[in-house]
Amino acid sequence: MSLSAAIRSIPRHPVGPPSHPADLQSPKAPRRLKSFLEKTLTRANPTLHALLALLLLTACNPTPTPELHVFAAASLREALTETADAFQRANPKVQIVPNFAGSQLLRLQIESGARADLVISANPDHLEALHHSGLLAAPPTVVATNQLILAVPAANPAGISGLQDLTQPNRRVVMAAESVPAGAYARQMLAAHAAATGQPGFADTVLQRVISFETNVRQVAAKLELAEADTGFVYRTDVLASNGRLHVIQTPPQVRVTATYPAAVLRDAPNSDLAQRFLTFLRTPQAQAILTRHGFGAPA
Amino acid sequence: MLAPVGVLIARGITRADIGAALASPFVRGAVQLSLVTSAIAVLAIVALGTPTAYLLARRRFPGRALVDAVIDLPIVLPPVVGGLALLLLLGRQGPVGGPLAGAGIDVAFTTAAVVLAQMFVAAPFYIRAARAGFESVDERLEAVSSTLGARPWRTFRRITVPLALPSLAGGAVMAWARALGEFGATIMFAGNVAGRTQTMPLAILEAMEADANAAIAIAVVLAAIALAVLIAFRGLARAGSRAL
Repeated sequence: MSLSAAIRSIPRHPVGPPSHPADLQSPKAPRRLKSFLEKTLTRANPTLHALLALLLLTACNPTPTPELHVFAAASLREALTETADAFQRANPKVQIVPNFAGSQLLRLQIESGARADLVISANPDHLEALHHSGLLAAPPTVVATNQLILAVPAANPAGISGLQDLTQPNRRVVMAAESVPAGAYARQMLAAHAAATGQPGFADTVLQRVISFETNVRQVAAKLELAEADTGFVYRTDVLASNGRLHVIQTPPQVRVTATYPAAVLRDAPNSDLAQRFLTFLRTPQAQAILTRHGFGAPA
Repeated sequence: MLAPVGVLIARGITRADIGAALASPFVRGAVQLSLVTSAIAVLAIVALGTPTAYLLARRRFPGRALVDAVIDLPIVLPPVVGGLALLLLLGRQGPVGGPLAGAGIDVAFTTAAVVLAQMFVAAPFYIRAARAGFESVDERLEAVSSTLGARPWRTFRRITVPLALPSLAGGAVMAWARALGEFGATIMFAGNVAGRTQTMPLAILEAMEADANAAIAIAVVLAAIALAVLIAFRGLARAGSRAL
């Protein structure tokens, strides 16, 4: 008897179709859930009732704390958090809700209708675009400046000593994407070095050494802190915020790139008066002292 | 569920100039990279996952329950956590990546990292389906085959695999779809460089910040592939029930 004939002679057993690979629930699951919900909701359940009472209380709070939604460039994280704390101490009824991201993403969120009162970008381009689209209540005001720098992990494993070292083969460079302010500034610095040293292909060579174009400058700093890259372009403030995990590599004054941080109240800001007050506060000596301590420069 | 995808596709067809966007080097590079990396990832998953699934379905061995549980981990683990874990293991400072880097082999932030990230998140989908497929094959058929003198490998190849084939193919298709859509683990572990590690989902994020039409074009391609996968999977499921 052949093999196939032998197999055909065996009574077949019903076998189902291939089960769904992500088949995580049994057919009993919905029934079980239903009975669980019924039990939980119908029986006297002190915990549940307490929770519901709490929910109702918070929902009916007659004087809600005004929330100020501040969309801020990723590099402002520590400095703005501290400035917001100072503002809230002076205005205890205000709750500042920050949203930190790459400035290009903040712009995209605002263009897509995100609820925001104040926006602070790490370069003028994105706010100018918002202004052109009529999304700002007034032209932007500069609240701080910053310096783009070349940084290395504290141990400097690749022995980077200047921009020229970035052209060596096997160097792993990390920087922000071109739409991110820190990425645009990095390209400016590369162009300045190329012009100062007369190497037209310099920027392209360095861009070939880039292992990742990150979506905000703090992702660049993170890759450097993990020493997954040899060097990268961040702000002076990011090195200060790294608590010694990053070091600055000195670059000559010809390639100096200064970042400006414009801020503006949104046209559709739910709390525009409050937003304007916080914007004014950012330019006071008290707020500027906090920003300076985190490495930012005064508005030019 | 249909509404957002429907709007996406309608918007893509009517307003975004899909043809022009797809012809741009930025989108073409991402599509090409995604297709190549996900194909390699699925081949590797099938090569490594088939024996694993077979062992889980047919053999009792110490630590089987543990293996069974660990295989499902990537399904419940947020992909971005998986990516960070891969980076800490295989990055230059990692316990495995360190010695490899010493030998001149970089894994993190390379195209190989893209494939590994895709394998990590997609493998459970294939292994689960393959295991269910092997379990559905009547063990007596295999027994008969061996009593008739077929060696285990021949039995596996001629009896077990053909009977489990719809499940294996279905699992591979689902794993491929999951690999193609991988985002979180890839951006953490492989970084974002056009042509090298920027797959279609990563390109969507970057395009949103520059040219929304390009983002919509890539999204439409991914949605179309997803629909095709769904149809193929249902077809395989029907083929499976007909064959048996």
